[in-house]
Amino acid sequence: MAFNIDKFAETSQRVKWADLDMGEFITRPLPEKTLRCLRYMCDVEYHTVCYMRDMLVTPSHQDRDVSTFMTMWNREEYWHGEALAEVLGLHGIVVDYDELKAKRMKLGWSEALKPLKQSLLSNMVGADFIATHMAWGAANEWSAVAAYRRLADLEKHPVLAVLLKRIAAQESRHVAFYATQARRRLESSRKAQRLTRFALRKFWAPVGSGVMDPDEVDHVMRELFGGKDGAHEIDRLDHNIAKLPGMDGLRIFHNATAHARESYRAEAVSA
Amino acid sequence: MAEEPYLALHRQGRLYGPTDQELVLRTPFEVQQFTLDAQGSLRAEVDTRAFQKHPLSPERLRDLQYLWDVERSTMGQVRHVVVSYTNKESRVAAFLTTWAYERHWIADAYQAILEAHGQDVSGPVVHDHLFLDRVEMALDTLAPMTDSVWTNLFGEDVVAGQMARGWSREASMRAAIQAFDDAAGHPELSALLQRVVRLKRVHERFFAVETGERVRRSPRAAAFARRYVSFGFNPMRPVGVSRNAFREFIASVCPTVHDTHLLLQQADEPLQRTPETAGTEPLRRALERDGVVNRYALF
Repeated sequence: MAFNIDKFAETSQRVKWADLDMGEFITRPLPEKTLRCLRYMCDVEYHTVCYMRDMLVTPSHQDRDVSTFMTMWNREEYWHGEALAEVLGLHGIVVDYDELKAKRMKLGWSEALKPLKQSLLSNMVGADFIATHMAWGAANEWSAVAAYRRLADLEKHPVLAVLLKRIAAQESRHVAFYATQARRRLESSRKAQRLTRFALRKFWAPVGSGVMDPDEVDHVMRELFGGKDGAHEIDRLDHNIAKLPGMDGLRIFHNATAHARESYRAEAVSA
Repeated sequence: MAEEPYLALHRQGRLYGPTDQELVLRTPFEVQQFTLDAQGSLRAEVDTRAFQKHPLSPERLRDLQYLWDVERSTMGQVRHVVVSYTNKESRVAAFLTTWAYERHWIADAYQAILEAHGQDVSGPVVHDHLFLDRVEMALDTLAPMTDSVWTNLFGEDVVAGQMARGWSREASMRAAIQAFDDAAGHPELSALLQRVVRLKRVHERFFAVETGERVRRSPRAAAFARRYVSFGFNPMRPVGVSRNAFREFIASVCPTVHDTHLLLQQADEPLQRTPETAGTEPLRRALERDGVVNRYALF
């Protein structure tokens, strides 16, 4: 089904939580392992502007639909960060402008030079590079939806579950955009298919990998996708990617989370 | 295992930032409130039936199309900021997120009027690009590569330059919208344009306060601010919009020397109030450079 960008923009809004009883987090605080996952998610949401930057160095920003989507997407993700920061704040964890800047400064030149790398690739590859970005974005958003839903199910906190499901519902709309764009662009170019397949197979890593410490990535993948239900979710995600033109047989989620899921199994056995 | 000491890794609730100093510049502009009050769609404020009764002339529609083009170029402007050191400035990034959102809806309101006049706005706009426009666009494609390196070498002082450009752009567009409103003399259009001017004033205030605070703190930041608005910059013509379209727009909304004077005064005057940016006159320089006016004929 075609993605209606005008309808998406008209219905885009910041995620709301004023109606939720946030005091519930005081009487029923979240455990550390969940706070660690939430902090990861919060940082990734606020860093959307960095992912958007990588897209903006391609010619895609001149496309009306892409430009509209990026405007709304960036704002929705910013508010996801704000909502999660509020929950973390109720547990004594500060995520404010200073903390975000400190995090970005800590990333140093590796992050600062990403526009150079992306821009070089974009200029060398041409328009097909946009297809890769779209497929990459779809993979990221699919995994974000799954992560929010998994955390809501695992934690079973009455307020957190509602908030995370609201965020996941918005992420699902982002999936629709990316997947539609990726499908359309991949269908029209064999070169884009080959390039995207190569990029996903060789370089895709869970969203946040370039920003967060490897220990944090490992923790989140272990908590959310360890165990039988987690493995089932990973299969479902791989199935989604495999349905994109030229991506059949790819198991990027399985491969990217293998180490974390193995460590979850080892822990479970030793326990 | 790593789970247990996670909270213990925090110092006064912070995992990364220092506890004894603020890293981010705070100004009297309340970014948090701005993000909360974001203006969404303005379509409800556009009475399209009024334009069926009293349509705009082809000339005024062309002017409106120019304003539409400028507002639609927002992501191109965001791109210049986020590839640079300024991307680390989380408070600026929060502002730009909402600023881009509001500008999207300003462009959408203009589009509603163009549609009401039967204009096809679905396809890409075809520009009459000159050789210079094409060179500018080619350089713009390469800009992320160079900007990401040199701005990070110079660090935070660069932010003042980008804020000064934002200030000049907002002041110039506010002045241009006012000139267009005066030239059009259309009550329904005027209601929308004055609404847009009010939004632009808020945007302008952010950039003005941000620039002022930064240039006062560092002479190098002041030097960047002056350079950014003085060279290779047209506050009313984003990259990709042709010089011809810009010239036509100025000639249309400022048919007399007096009108041009007034536009320049309103656009460039705000930057004169800060000693560090006084004398830069970005729009006047741009008009001369793009061949819209001759400095001797005008003054």
